[in-house]
Amino acid sequence: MRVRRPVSIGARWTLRYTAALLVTVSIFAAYTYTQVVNRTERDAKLHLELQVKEIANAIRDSRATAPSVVETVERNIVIAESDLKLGIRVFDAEGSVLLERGSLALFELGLSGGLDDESRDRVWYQADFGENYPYLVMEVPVKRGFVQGALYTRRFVRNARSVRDIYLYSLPVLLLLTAGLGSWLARGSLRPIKEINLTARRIRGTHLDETIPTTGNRDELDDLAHTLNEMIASIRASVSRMQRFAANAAHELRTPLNALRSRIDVTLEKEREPEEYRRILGEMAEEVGSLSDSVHAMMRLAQSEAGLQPDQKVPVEISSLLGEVVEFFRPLADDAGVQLLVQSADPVTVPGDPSWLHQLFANLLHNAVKYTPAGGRIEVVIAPDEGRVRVIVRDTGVGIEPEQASNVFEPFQRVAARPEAPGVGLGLPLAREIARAHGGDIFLDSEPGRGSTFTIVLPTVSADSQRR
Amino acid sequence: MLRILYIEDDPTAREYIRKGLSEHGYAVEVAGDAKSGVERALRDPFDLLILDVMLPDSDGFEILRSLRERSVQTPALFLSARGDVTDRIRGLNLGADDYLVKPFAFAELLARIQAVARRSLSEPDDGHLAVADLVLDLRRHAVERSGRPVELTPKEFSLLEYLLRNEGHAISRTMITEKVWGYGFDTYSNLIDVHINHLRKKVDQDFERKLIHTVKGVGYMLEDRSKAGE
Repeated sequence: MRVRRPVSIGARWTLRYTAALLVTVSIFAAYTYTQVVNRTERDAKLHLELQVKEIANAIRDSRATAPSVVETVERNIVIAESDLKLGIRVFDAEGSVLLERGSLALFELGLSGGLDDESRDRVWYQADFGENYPYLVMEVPVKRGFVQGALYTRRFVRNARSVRDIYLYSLPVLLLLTAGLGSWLARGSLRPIKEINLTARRIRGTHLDETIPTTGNRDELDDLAHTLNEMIASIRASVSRMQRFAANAAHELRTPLNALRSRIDVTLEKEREPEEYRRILGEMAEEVGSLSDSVHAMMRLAQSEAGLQPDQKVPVEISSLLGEVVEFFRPLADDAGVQLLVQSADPVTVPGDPSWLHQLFANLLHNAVKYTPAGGRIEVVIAPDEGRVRVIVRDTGVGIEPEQASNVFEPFQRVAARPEAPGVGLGLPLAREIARAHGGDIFLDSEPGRGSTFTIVLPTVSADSQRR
Repeated sequence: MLRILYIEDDPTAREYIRKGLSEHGYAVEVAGDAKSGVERALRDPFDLLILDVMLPDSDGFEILRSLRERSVQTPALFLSARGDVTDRIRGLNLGADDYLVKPFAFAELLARIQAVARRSLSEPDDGHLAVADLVLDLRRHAVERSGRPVELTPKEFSLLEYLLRNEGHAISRTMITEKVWGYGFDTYSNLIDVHINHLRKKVDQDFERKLIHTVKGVGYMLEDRSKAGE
């Protein structure tokens, strides 16, 4: 297996920028270079053609008066010679040189083609005499002869070469510049990621108050920072809920444990009758039992907060389940002198865990019986609705102050107006968690002195099948 | 004497339960892990298996499954720290006879062991369950005390039937919620007292001979105690 060294995003971006620039510049350079070469070639041709044609015309017009031809040739060469090397030769029909002027005199160059054909058109070619630059040669037939012109193309070729050189020398500089700029740009746009990373590293269970700095420019990275901040906030909320829960739970357990402890100490202080030991141990067993009930209730709450597993869900018929729960509590209500009424309804099915739902309704009924004085009434109504069912538990009990109403669903929060409440105070929180685990919720509407109405809403269609 | 095999990895629990059961006249053998437990169960015949669900090398469900596969039909009782309904149902589906959630009162365990041991007894069924002058007619769903009809709600009838079927044996509140109400009320098992009181009012209140008795620390027992004095 090949082990690849990690390459940072910044470096990769820089490489890509640079490669992209290299390709673009190369294509551009190749294009301009060929353009320049074509143009200079055309210029050179034009230049040579002008000279040769003038001489050819002079020969044609002179009726072969040699002096005027020589004069024209020399004038042209002198003009041309000022910045270009130009050579002109005039041949007769047999190929003998009649006239030779300019730099052409320095070397031997015959005619390229046959001499017999007067109608032959002009000929272009390049001739290399071992120098650094080629000569451009043009031959034009004239009356009983030829005019040959040669142009030293140094200037033209050098122009093209210098264009090529500019590209060759500037390309590395350009690339370096791009790489530098690219890496600066990449670092700049990656800085938020670095900050996110640093903050995330600082965040531990105890440092959840950190937030990732946002730029506010609403780009993708700002979005990411916002999303992560939301995530951190929700983790923070649930961690602090857990911490509060753990602290409350420890507190709830410590008090009865301390009481047990001092009972044991007092009992052990002196010799007692076996009968007394037995009685005390029996009572302590009961206290330990209620302690373990508390632990059970806390575990249940923690479990329901974790939510319902999909395989836990079965269709649960609510009216018959509720009927069973009501019958379970009826003797208690009878003893308390409270009327317990159920408004029967058509069967309605909720996808859920029957034992959890059992617990939910039992907790609500228990709560209602506990806080409804003799002569009162508890009504249970099942109201099926579109896609959900509402179960209403209405009592004529002591009720709850509005500002306390939200507290009843918080674990360990015994409501001030009802200090006599026994138990750990987990009944209603557990009821709400169960309702929420089923995709529903629970609402309280209460008036002090008049009674409370708890409304449980449960979806009758599972969220899974809705998605399908 | 009832022979019990108890498989449990926690030495403290293993020892005090072994001791407690021995004191109640049971012959208890213990095993600390699934492997030795299964070997033990295959070597000797036992009357009852008590299996801890969570063991280091396996779990109680696996033990029971492999024993049932080798046609060991010994009644079994699970002990588990997990009270999930799914776990309970899984255990009972595997052919366990009962499922007890830790922590439990020792008396609760005793009551359940006795109930499991009794379960093998065949039902002498002429459709009537009777103790002293109390008669419960299963077919007509009717109850009589001293020849006079007693009106009971359906749940009260089931409760009385359950007590009658376990005549002379202590029944815990949790057992009653499980067997009479099915499930779910374990946090409200104290409410069983209210139900028993209502039943007592109808069955016992007007009669000299009380049949439903409270068993301290456990629950209730239906018994005709006047016989002993006769």
